[in-house]
Amino acid sequence: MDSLWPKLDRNVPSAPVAILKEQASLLGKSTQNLVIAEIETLQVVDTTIKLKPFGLADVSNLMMSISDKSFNSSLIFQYAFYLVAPALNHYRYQLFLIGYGIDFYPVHFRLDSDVQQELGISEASDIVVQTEEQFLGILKTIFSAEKTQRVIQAIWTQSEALATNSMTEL
Amino acid sequence: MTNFLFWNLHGNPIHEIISRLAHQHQIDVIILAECRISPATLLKALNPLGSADYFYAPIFGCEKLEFYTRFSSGYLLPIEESARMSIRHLNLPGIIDTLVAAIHFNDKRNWSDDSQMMAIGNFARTINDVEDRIGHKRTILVGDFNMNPFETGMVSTMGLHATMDRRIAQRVERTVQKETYTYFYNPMWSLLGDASPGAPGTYYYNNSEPRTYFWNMFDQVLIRPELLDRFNNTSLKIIDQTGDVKFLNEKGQPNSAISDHLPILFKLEL
Repeated sequence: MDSLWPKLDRNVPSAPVAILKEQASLLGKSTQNLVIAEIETLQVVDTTIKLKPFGLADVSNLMMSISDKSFNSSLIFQYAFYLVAPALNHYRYQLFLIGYGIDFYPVHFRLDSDVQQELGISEASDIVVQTEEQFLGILKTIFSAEKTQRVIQAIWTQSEALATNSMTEL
Repeated sequence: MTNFLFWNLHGNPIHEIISRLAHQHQIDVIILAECRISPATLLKALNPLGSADYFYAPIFGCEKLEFYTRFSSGYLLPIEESARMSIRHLNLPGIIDTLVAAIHFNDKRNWSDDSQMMAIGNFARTINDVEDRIGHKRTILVGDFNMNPFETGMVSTMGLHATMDRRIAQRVERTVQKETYTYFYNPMWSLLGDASPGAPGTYYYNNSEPRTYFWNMFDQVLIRPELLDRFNNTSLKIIDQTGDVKFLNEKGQPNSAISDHLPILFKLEL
């Protein structure tokens, strides 16, 4: 029998999680793997509460729509992004969550509340990006945020101290 | 016996009061929210000249909660955090290995009940994940939940699954639609209202909405079934004074010059 499938094209945009994983893999190179990043797939929980459109906002020249706080079952792919200190008993800090549907975009972000405050966005709002370009832009903004830098510095310094102590004990 | 104190300080510089409370009740783990007192100031208050009872447990990422311990803070290291929750591993020699999770959850001024409900599920999942990593469920979760014990986020399987009945919690888990959820026991139910010992709640809020509770029990401790044999309800108290310092004003409401929340104290036989 002939295949009824059309010619399938894999030339589609990168999945947001693929971009996240690539970015995660780059952090360790700057920190000698004392601080790395991990992505965790979240189990999607069926909630009956739906998105309520809220309005529009412009943050750091990124056009993003903002909706009421909600990570719901319509976002079938959900991931958590962690900063991790392998030398500190694998300490993890949850920096943000993302969620998206089968079309990849829009991607919904739920940010660390301190980062969100730093960006001047109400804590009651999710950030939603519509394109890959916006997704990359908001990732850059989050990674450069003072709070993110503080967490990285804190766990990096602590890990370094631990390494130094271990050497001294030897 | 390990003694715990949780207090939302409302940003007030009440280090001397904290010190009095800590010494009066021999607190081993002090957990503070909305704390703007520098570690140096509070350590000086907690450790009078010539003593070194208390240690500051350094912050890594969660800046909304502060921990002080009556043992080296190396025995209460954080394992997993987010902006509003810190999960720490209490592994002090001679006591049973325990997870101490603290939370300062989003308030109702900024978040609707529905939003709180949805977000608390993420915290519940995180606690489960850490328990899986550590290999036990000897966990206490304490903090300012900005929800009352009877709210959906506290009670639902989609939230913290905290029950008012110790016997139910001792069933350990419940299966709903093929998913299994571990219980927390929430002893704060027993302290609700004016017939209970201490103040009717931990936070007073009066507004003109038709539904107003006046007293709220936002500050709570939840205990996993594995630790229930080590917890006696009589050890749980809402504290309204230390020495001659009263935390309630002349109307019997929290004195916001001290804090708009009352502290809670509890003990575990670890």
